[in-house]
Amino acid sequence: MSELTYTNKPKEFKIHPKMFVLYLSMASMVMLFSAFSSALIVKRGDTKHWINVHIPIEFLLSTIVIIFSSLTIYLAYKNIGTKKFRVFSLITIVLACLFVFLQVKGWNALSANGTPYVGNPSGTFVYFISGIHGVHYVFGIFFLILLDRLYSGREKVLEYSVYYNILQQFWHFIGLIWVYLYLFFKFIIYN
Amino acid sequence: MDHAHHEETFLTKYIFSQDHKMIARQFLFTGIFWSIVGALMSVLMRIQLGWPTETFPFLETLLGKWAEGGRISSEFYYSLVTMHGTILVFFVLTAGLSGTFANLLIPYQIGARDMASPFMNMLSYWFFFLAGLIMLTSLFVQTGAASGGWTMYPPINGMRNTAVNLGSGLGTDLWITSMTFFIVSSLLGGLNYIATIINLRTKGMTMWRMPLPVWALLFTAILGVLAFPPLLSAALLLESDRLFDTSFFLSDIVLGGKLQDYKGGSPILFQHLFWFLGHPEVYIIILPAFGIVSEVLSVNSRKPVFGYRAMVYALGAIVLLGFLVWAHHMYVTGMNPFVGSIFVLFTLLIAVPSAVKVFNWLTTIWKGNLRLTPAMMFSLGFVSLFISGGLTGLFLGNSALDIPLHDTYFVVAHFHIVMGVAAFFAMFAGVYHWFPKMFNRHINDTLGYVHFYMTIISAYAIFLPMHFMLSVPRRYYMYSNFQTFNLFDDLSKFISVFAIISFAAQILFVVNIVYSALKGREVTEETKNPWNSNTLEWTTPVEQIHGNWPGDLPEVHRWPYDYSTGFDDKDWIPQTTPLREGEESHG
Repeated sequence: MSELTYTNKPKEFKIHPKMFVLYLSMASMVMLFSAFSSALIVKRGDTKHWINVHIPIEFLLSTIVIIFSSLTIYLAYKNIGTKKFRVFSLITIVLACLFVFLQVKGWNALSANGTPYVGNPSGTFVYFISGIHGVHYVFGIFFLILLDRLYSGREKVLEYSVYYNILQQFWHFIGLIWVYLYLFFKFIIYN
Repeated sequence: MDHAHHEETFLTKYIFSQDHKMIARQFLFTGIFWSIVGALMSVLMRIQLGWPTETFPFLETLLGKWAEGGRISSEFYYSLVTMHGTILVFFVLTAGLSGTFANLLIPYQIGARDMASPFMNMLSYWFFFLAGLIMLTSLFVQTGAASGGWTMYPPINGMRNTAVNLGSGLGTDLWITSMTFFIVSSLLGGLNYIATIINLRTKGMTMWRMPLPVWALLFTAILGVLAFPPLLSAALLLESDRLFDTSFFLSDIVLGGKLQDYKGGSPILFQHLFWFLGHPEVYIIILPAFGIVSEVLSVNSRKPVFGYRAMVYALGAIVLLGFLVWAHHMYVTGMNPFVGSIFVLFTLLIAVPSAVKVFNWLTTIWKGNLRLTPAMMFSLGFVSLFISGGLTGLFLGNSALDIPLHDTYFVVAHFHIVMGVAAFFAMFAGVYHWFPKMFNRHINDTLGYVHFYMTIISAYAIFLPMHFMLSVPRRYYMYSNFQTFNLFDDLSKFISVFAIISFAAQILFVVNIVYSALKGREVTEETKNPWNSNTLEWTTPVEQIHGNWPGDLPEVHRWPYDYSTGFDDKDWIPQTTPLREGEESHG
């Protein structure tokens, strides 16, 4: 095997491998929500058992909140290593908690309007799909708080900014999913 | 990420290892464990089907209340049918096959030190282990394991009603929980495999220089990443129906003369979500088998693989078409015949890339200098089985023929040959071929040949006769009450005898693995590439280290199938050998 040749050239990445994993997992998440969406479209076609649901105003408010949180997390990322990072990071955490609060209020409003979780699946789908989205969102909040604690007041945080970049991209993505779900519920399924 | 070799404790080296080689072995041994459990279940089923009215006292000793008086109870029989399918499809032929060979081959064959995320890789195994533990636990709950079929169709599986169906209690809840963990494991693994192949190839390893197993594992991972989430959605909705009495999949159900509260759901919706994964799952199983067999056939024919690019394009076409054919499992659900005809068209189209692969395998071995190693024998067996099983797929893909053949032994014969036994043959080929790499010892070839002949004879003896049982419905506990089916009593006994012989052959295989791994002839620096193969895994040192190659990574200059090119005095040129003057690169 004297002809074996070796390389010591370090690998250069166009995209960080962990960011690449995130992009791939986004494809999986798209498939998950596509499956739920298609199930709901099939249900919508069943005119015999279909019951229309009024989408509560709280979901519109949570949509606005999630869009703002995308802006603040972006600003936090851009200010890593400066004092502004902490400000934007905390605002994002507050907005994230507000989003969860509004979702719970939205579920309560649905129930109060005569759409309980158990009953005709026309309404159950709203709880279920927004709940599954909520699980993703809570997962994001956990890392938001974790990275906020890790980065605040630390030196050399720039070296680790790739993790915050991954988080903010995940955040934008999960926000986009909610905007899609809101528009899908409001204007396509329950119009 | 630092993958440099370092001292490890027992816990970090053998249990919570992040080394792809150790994780491959963990997947292999866990897969073997589940193979034995799953195969033992099929033997129990065949005992019941072969001798339905006889009693076997040892069964009561073994199974207790599930075989009182020495006969398997009908409830337990249906649990066996369900768990056999689940275990073999998911735990053995998905995790066991892909998990073992993706972990072993991807970093080795692309010249990487490890996976993109070794931690995620470790998690993938442990989620699989946890899924298995939960599934195993379900076998021991008082109301029995899930018994509503591996496809978990509602309404029978959508309600917790043990008065109607014993297994629909805790057993089914554990089944769904286990599958949720399994899906997480598959997604973690798949994401990691794709990221590794795209990002961590060594210098010179262009995509068109990748060995076919890597291509196959890449496409498998893509399929898994896109197809498992819909199954997850189905599982979550089904569990909601079971636990919270929602009606996603249930409607207008009468139990004991009483109309239940479920309204507005659709069991057919579950079938759509299930089969959107369920059919790609067939390719998740068979694509790694394609890759392994392509490699073994080329190496042992001492010829370049025929139509390398066509092989890759065929894999891609199968992946694409695999997403468009799920409803061919649902022709009898009352779908619009026009919709059915579209699924017929796409289903039959898959025969084209499949035929390309078969043609290329045959032309690869054509006039080759064949070395009939156990791995080669199993690969040839795979091609034979894939053709036999694939031909009956043409019948079943056609809705006009599938409707009368649906749920008969013809279907059982088809899918067992084409995706069950064939995939097993590829797995055996892979184990025999890469055994020296996995365990640093050579496997016993004589036992390998005995294993091969016993297995292929029994496989055909079991499944060929089933094609003639095309009027016999599958999944029945016993046929004694049906005069028409008495005709098949002797044939059923014949099949059962060969099922037991086949099981014995697999025990021999396990004994060979354990014995050879402990006592086999050791691999030395001279014999570390026993098949004179071109791929990178054979260039690693005998002493395995975390990081695979000490010092720098190997550099690649050519594709992996330069066998008998005439450019050298030997009939193989490793991928690390620079091109000679006047020699053209393939990739």
